[in-house]
This record gives sequence, C-alpha cells and structure tokens, in this order.
Amino acid sequence: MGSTIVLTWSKLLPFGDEYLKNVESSGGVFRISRKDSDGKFYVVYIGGASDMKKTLEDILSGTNTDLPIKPEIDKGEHFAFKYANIVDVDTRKAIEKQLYKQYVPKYNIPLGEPTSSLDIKANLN
Amino acid sequence: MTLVLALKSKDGIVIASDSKASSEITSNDTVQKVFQLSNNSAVGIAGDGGLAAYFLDQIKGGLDHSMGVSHLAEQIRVKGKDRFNDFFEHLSPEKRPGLSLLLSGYTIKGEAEIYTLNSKDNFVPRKAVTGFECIGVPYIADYLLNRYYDSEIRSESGKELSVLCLQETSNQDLSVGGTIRVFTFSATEDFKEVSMPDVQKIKDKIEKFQVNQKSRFYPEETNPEL
Repeated sequence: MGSTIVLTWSKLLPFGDEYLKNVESSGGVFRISRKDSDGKFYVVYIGGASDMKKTLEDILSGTNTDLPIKPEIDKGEHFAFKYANIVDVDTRKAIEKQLYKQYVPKYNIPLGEPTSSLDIKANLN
Repeated sequence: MTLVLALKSKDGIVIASDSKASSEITSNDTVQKVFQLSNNSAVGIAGDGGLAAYFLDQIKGGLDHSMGVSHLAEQIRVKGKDRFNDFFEHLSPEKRPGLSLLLSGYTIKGEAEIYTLNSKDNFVPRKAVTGFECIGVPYIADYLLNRYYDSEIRSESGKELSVLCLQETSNQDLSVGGTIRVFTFSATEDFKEVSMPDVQKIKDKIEKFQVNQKSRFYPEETNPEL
C-alpha cells in the first residue's frame, strides 16, 4: 500500500505575468488548463520543476518551444494554472506521474508518462 | 487469461496476442499464444496453455494444408474432438479443461477466413462474419473492433488497431499483459512477426489516440480567480 501526502494547491489563476509574479522560485508541480467552447477549463499540460516560477515564465513567454501555449494565447485562447509546492524531487516526480495518469493531458502525451518508483498519492485540488 | 485477436485487412491477415499467463499466485509474461501452421495460416490459443501447446503438437503435424483454411478448420474439428475425448474420457464434458482456438488463413481461392473453435462444443468451427474475432478476454477488443474496424482497413492500420485492442484490454484487465506480439501474412506473403521495435513504434503512435485524453472528463472545478 502506498502513502498519501496533503498538498496545498493555489487557486485556479489566469495564466499571465500578473499572476506568475506571486509564484515562488521553488520546487513544485503545476497544471495548465485551457478554456474550451463550453466555458470550462480542461488540463492540457502538467509538469514539475525545481524552480516553478522560471519554468512557468518560460512556457508563458514561448521560450519553452515544446509547448505551443504562447501562440495560442496570442490567438486569444484563455489559459489558467494551478500549482503546489513540493521541495523533494522524488516526491515531485511521483505526483507528476499521478497528475499525468489522472488527466493524460494533450501536450504531455508526446513526452510520455513521467517515471517514478514511489507509491505516493496526493490530493489534486 | 489471454487475448488473441485476428482481423482481415485488404492486404492480409493480422493476428496478435498478449503474452501473459497467470495462476492464483504467479504470473509469466513470456508465453507464446500464436503459432504458425503454414506460410499462410496461423492459430492462436486461449485456455490451459500447457494443454494447448501439447494439443497443437498432437494435431498440427498431420494437417493437410492443400485444401485451404476451411478444410483446415474441419480437420482440427475432427482431430480436436478425437484427441480431447481421448485425453479426458474420464471426465464429463462440463468438467474438462477449456481450450479456444482462433484459426486464420486462406481458402484455395485466396479468400481470407477466420474461425473460432472451442473444446466446449467439440471444436465446431465458427466462421467470423465481421472480419475479425477475439478469444480469451474479448470484451474491450470486441467493442473497439466493432467501433473502428472496416473491411477497407489495410494491414498497417490493422496492426495499430490490434495493438490498441491489446493495450486497452491490459489497461483494464491485469490478467492480460506482457509483451504484445503481432504477426501478419497473406495469400502471397509468408507468415512473419512484426519486430519488437516496430511494435513499440505502434504503441507510441496509438498513445496519441483520442481515447487516451482523460482530461476531457475532469474539467477544473472552478473558474480562474481574477
């Protein structure tokens, strides 16, 4: 049987500079969702990083060329994000894997499922 | 448990299987379940693996392939019934171990045919009328094949559809799994196995199929806070 941890997730925030400035430059996991024609936001990417602020800024600015999110924002698409701080890298990888399995997000599929040998689960909201 | 499936394509037959065998406390992921009978026919097995392997050893040597797959099916029916009655004369039919066969091949006119044969009804051949058949744990594969199979499919896509069926079944049923093995043959091309690297490429490709986008069922619970 695995173990569970309790994460403190941020609120769902618009994915933009104004809200990224409050993200800390520390380790954590995040998910980015896009507003669909039904008005709901669906997760399109999950990730983890040792410096979440920089990673999210790179995605927003288009520096991360693996993710076509900036071009979509430029076309007027609405994105939002949610994050939780996790300092330990092994725990972070385990929760990334859990997030991937929960959402199987569109932009993660080409990158493959994150690997982790830890059996840890967390709350996702 | 097992999943073996066969489908007819425009340019050949695809037959594929998982490799898992499990008992109450152990499992093995390296079991062969598809066997070549000739250059243009093959059989898949489900049930007692050891019994099936011995049963095939007993019957396949004396098979006459010159009259095509429908004649093969009849030969397997006669030999199968005879051998099973010999093996298990001490048991009433309902107590005998079960064995399912999935036979695929070509008639002497060059038409692809697929048959299922089951020990529970004396191996009476049942010809596939949909262009595909599954034995073992067929439910998810049957749904996907009914949904996506068309007689216009070519064997390249037939391989992808077969791997999708095996992947989706093993995602839900842990008794199906291990290495996915895929084989193809036609009236003019000999039986051959798709290489492991090529199977992996197919698996990587089908990851992108829509059925995997689970996020559509889990929208964010709130709207963004401004």
